[in-house]
Amino acid sequence: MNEMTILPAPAEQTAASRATAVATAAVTAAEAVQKTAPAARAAAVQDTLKMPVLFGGWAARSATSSIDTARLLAFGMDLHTWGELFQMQQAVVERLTLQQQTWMQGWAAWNRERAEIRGANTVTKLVEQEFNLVAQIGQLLIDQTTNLIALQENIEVSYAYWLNQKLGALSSTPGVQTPVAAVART
Amino acid sequence: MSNDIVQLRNYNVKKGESSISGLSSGAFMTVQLHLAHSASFAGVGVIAGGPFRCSESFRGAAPLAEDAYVQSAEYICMSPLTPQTGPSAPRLAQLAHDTAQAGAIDPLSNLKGDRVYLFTGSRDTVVYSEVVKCTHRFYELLGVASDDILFDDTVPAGHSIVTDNPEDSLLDTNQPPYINQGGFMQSHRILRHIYDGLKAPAQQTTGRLLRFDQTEFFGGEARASMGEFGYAYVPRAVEEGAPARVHVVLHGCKQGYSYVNYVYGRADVTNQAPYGNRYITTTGYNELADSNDIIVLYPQATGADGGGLQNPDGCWDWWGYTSDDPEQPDYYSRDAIQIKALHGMLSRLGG
Repeated sequence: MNEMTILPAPAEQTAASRATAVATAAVTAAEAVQKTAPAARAAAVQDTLKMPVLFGGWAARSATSSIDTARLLAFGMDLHTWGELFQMQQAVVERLTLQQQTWMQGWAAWNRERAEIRGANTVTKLVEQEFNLVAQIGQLLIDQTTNLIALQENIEVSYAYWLNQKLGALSSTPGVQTPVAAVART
Repeated sequence: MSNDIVQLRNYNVKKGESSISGLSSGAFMTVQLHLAHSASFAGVGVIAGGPFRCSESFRGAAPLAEDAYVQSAEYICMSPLTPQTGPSAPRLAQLAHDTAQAGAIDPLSNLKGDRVYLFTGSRDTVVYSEVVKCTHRFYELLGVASDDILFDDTVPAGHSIVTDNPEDSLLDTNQPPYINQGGFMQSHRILRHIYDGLKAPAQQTTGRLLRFDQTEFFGGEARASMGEFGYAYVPRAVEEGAPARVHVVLHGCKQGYSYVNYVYGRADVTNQAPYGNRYITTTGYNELADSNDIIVLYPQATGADGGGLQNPDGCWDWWGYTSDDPEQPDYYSRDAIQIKALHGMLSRLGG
């Protein structure tokens, strides 16, 4: 899809190859972790290493997306491409709006519940009701935060994927699926 | 249903006339199972599901393969921002061709003449409509005739199987149990599209709902992430020897009989939701099956979080969590552990 055949300029190529090397190093390290600790067999090792691996992955993706953006700006932008970018921005705004609506609805429901007079014949129940309200605030915050992070992650992955498709062979990220030969059975 | 745990047995099933339907992860698995064993099936129903091997769309999403496939699954195959950031039907169709050529799945020529029902609720915010549109294009590219495909994106439903039960959730809901009321039985639409000339559903079923031991089909391996029991509805006429067909129903995430919600990272076993039983008993499959000599098979996935298995919601595997090798995950071929188990059940029934 939208593969390009143009080559990057030498100066950019050098900068790009340096950044790609950093990203590749991160990938190689991560792959090494994976190979020495396959998911189904050494989960404990993986869990310990997950934080640096995930953040390393995020950094690598950001680096490669920056390089790919520069390449696209230099060689591949046209009205259609700008249009697609605009569409992506619009989708992000829509999703954010939806998230904010859900967030506000959550607070409205919490407010309603707080205002309701409830029966409590024991101190235990009264205390439990108060703690329930506190717990609900916590849940609202957790939901909002995780939803925002999910959207952020979605934007990053989607943008990197979109760049990969636009640039084809010029992209810094591997985009194509696992080679099928790998699953060939005798 | 009696308290017995039975072994699945053989019936007088017509070979090559079986079918599958599923919701969400069950829909992704429906497409996988269909392609892996296309010789066994005559049609499918896909509610909110994406194309074959979709989760392998973008290896560059993360350095680790297992992370990249999960992220591709979530952001490209479930909630793409735009059509351009969604799955690519031509690419995945080519991948399906390559997979068939490698001998990992049945020849794709079997798909010709199969009946395909595709549904996406226009209010679905879990698996967006763009993804199901891609599944539509994917099947067309694999040679399924347009006349054999029914694609419905007109109902303002959330992420759900639609029923006409008054007690189910409002139509545009995107929450568990993902069974929403919309004034019609979606299961009936699926079966009627796959099989011509079905009789009206039974007012009162006469068959038996069986609880069977699933473990024999996956060797009790934990990585299969499948429950101890599966269920099957067998019409009385079929028990008495009438020729039958089998329809496999694959539930979605959080819908297996043993699903337990994780609250603050812990399994909330004291408030176990009875979602699974509702999927088996109230979605309308059994009534239509009863009057048309169809065995309905309800295999069950189960949740696990930790110990190397990340499937807390009890989803069917469409991104590789059951695979030993994250770099080259096999969750889609005839040898994939869940597909092997599902097809084993079908074969036992005679399909």
